[in-house]
Amino acid sequence: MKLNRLITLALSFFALLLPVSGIASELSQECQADFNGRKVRFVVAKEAGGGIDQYTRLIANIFADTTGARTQISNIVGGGGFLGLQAVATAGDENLTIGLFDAESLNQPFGNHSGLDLEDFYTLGIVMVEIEAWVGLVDFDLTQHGTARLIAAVSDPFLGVRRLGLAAHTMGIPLSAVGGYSGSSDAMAAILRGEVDVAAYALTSVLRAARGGMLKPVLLLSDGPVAEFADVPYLAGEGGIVDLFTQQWEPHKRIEAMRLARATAEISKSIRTLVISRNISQRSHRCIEEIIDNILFGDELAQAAAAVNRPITPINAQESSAILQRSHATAMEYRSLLSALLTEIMQ
Amino acid sequence: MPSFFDALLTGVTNTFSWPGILIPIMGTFLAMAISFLPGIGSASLMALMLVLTVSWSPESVLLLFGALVGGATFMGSVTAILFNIPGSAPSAAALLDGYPLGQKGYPRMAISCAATASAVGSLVGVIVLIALLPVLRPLIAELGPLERVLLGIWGLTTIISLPYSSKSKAATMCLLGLLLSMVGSDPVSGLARWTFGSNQMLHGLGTIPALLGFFTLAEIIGWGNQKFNQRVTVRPNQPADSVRSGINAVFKHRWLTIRSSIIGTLVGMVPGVGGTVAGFVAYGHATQTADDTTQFGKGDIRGLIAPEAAIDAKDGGSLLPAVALGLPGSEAGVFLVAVLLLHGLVPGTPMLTSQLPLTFTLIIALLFSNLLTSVIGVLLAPWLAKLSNFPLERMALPALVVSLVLIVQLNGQIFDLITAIVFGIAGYFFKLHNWPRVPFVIAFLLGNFIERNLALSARLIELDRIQPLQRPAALVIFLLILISVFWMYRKTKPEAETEALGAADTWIAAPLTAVCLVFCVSAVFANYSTITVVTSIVALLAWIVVTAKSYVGAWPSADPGIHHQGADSSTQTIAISSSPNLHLYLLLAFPLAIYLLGFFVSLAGLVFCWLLRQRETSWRNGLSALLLAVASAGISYFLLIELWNVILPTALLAQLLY
Repeated sequence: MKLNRLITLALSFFALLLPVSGIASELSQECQADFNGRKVRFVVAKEAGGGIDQYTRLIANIFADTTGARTQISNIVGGGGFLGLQAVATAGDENLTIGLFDAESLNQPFGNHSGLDLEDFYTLGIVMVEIEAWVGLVDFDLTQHGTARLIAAVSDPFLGVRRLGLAAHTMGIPLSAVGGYSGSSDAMAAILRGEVDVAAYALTSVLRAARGGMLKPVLLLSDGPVAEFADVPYLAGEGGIVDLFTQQWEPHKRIEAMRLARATAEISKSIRTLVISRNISQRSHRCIEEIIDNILFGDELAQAAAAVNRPITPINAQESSAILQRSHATAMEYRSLLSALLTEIMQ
Repeated sequence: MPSFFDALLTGVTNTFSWPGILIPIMGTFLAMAISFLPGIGSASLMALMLVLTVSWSPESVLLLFGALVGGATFMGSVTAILFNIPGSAPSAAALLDGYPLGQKGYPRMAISCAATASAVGSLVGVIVLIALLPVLRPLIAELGPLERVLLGIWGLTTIISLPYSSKSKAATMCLLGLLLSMVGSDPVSGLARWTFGSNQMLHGLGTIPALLGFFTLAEIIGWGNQKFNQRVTVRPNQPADSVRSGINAVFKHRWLTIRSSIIGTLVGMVPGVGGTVAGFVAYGHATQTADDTTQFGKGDIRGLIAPEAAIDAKDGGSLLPAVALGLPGSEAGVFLVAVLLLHGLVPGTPMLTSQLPLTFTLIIALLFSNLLTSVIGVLLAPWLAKLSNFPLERMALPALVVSLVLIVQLNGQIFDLITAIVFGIAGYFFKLHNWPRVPFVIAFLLGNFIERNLALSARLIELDRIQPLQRPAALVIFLLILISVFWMYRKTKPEAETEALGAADTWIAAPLTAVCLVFCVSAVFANYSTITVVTSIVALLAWIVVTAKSYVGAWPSADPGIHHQGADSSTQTIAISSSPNLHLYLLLAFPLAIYLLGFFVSLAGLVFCWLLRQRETSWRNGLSALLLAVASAGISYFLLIELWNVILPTALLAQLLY
């Protein structure tokens, strides 16, 4: 009897779903028709060959395969990603342009030349979220470093101040930044030459460089331990390096340092987000969101990304938007501190 | 661990096995085809290949990537020799004497000479690399910002050794080049600098658009104007122009070729430096060591041999930071690291020990590809050379359309087009009034690189992280600079300027002084970095002096009308500058027309007006001009929109209408 009821309930449930799935299918066909043969540009605000470029190429290929759209990749480099952002923000329905950016580019609390911010874009989804890490020589041990001044390499001071300046500030370590290195390779080579002690990049990049045997991640900018890297100190949370370093501090200062450490972990994450301009029509937005959702959560991207050794952690549009808003709010909360730290570390 | 010679043998076997040899052959042809089209870098090809070759064996992938890197270098110089269009930034050095050689009636010799110098350069480069392999890691680790800035300065000192009719002009042009290289973002602080509120300028002025404008568009404006100014183009067919003479020239100047190759290899090993510096340093070396420098810039074969040998020799060196340290120092290096990791290979020590056979596979594939491009270049030289016989007046318009389309294709940015046109018009006037363009280009290409590394070095010295006197590589390069400068001054005759500044020079100098004044004032008031402020003040002072000299020189009897073509002129012509130049106005109006009417309508209008200007007025000519204009716009539309999927901004008129 119970079984019959369950079967009836299940059948009723699927019967209710039928019209919904019918609508979804119809919508897909509508989008399919809209995009078949249509030109869609994908903007990468970095040079060809890097992580963001590879993710974009994979997504653009699948986009073209699944919709019949003609996709094009444009590497619009410069201005800390602002030129790329601008290309996406100003594109409308007639020249649909999707961009894959690090959240840091979308979410600049200061030094924003373009005047663009999150409000100018629809978030389509997140391809990958990963923590940032400090990288140093294999014999460097941050837990034994004490309060001696650290010298850090930065490629972009506005990003460096979050990943390095703020993190060092929470640990009570004085830090001087050396700006002008052109990219992660140049900065990591500077560590090998002994010019600087540390640099900070996405964990994947750090691990890639560490395979040479001379560098290693020396600090994870995470809010808690990371299982695969149990021996690497982490910044925030219980047992983290800030927790360790501030044990002798006054309670209110310690609480503030712990809070700041969590905020640092939050705003320094590498969040690779797909966005499109708010200039586009509702219909285009709906379709693109659907298409991107299908791509992000489909097997094809997972397999293609695995084949080129690029992990993905897909997040849908709604949740992505919330994550970015949260990160932006945190960055804005510490805006004046970041600004002061920027001046301090570059002097 | 395999022995050194076993590994080398394995590398050779991998490359020349059957059917494995087909991979580097295909890769070479692909890279040659892509690099023959100016402005289209090999990065897109490599990105595509990265994904397509995921399932290949590591040996096969390295064979392909070696060929893609090796095959891309030489063909860029062919377009430079034939059309004054550098196929890539490193090929810019080949313009200086390669194009004049072609125009003087030696295109076969120039192409075959470039091909042979490339082959010798790559061979010497690989031999040097193999010899240095055991000490590679410590050697690369020695090359930091201080060494780089010194290398950049070494490249800049080549400006001194070039022959000029006016040293004042050369100095001011150099300073102008340095100033314009600073436009964009400050490399240290990341703050906008001289962008005047334009986001497009944040990335600075693009190298390829600037070079295409400065040399190619400037040349085209001159060509288009020929008929109406009764200019006489002298391009005799020289009996001595042969493939054999080109090959012989390299062997005649064998020591220069070898020295330039060594320079190229060593410069290539410095991460981030690239072939542009290598080419110019080698060019400077050729001028410094030559007894007679009067023909440099006018078609001296040594001015082609040196940069060609250097830019091909640097290929191997540029990949080594990626192989030896896992840290790419060039665009190709980025892809190489990605390839290595994708195929489970570990860049760094393993690539120089347990995986040494694979490193040799890459190096031998690179060498094979370089040699193959050279052989093809020599074989094709007679046919390629025929392209240079095409009448310049008829070539102007197609070359203009191709250049404009290629510039837009780079990034789909109209700003690149504006950059190219501004540089083109400036380059035209500089050439017309005998202002040396080479110092400007060298300074423009090296300026940002020098500034970035100078700021880094200063900061590291301030933080006590580098001690200049304890860096042997820096001391060696510094010594080389001193020797170069001493050598150059020893050879330079203490003579006065051969050309006095005149009234027409005031027309060049005065506006540029005003530009420098704007730059200087904004640098001071916007609190730019010390390097920026100092450079802008020095540039302003230099331009004020030159303007004053030209004004005084013009008074009272200078004739502004007639000017002889200058040291870097490629055609022996006399132009009358006061005659109307519609082509110039057309190009000036082109960006505005794009903004109002869109790229394709404006292009059609440009072609139509250009053709009408060149022909007799008749309805038949008008109709054919109209048809050609529509065809040009149609073909451009097909290429840009249909084939390359470039998305261009919507014209104002279209926005108003729809």
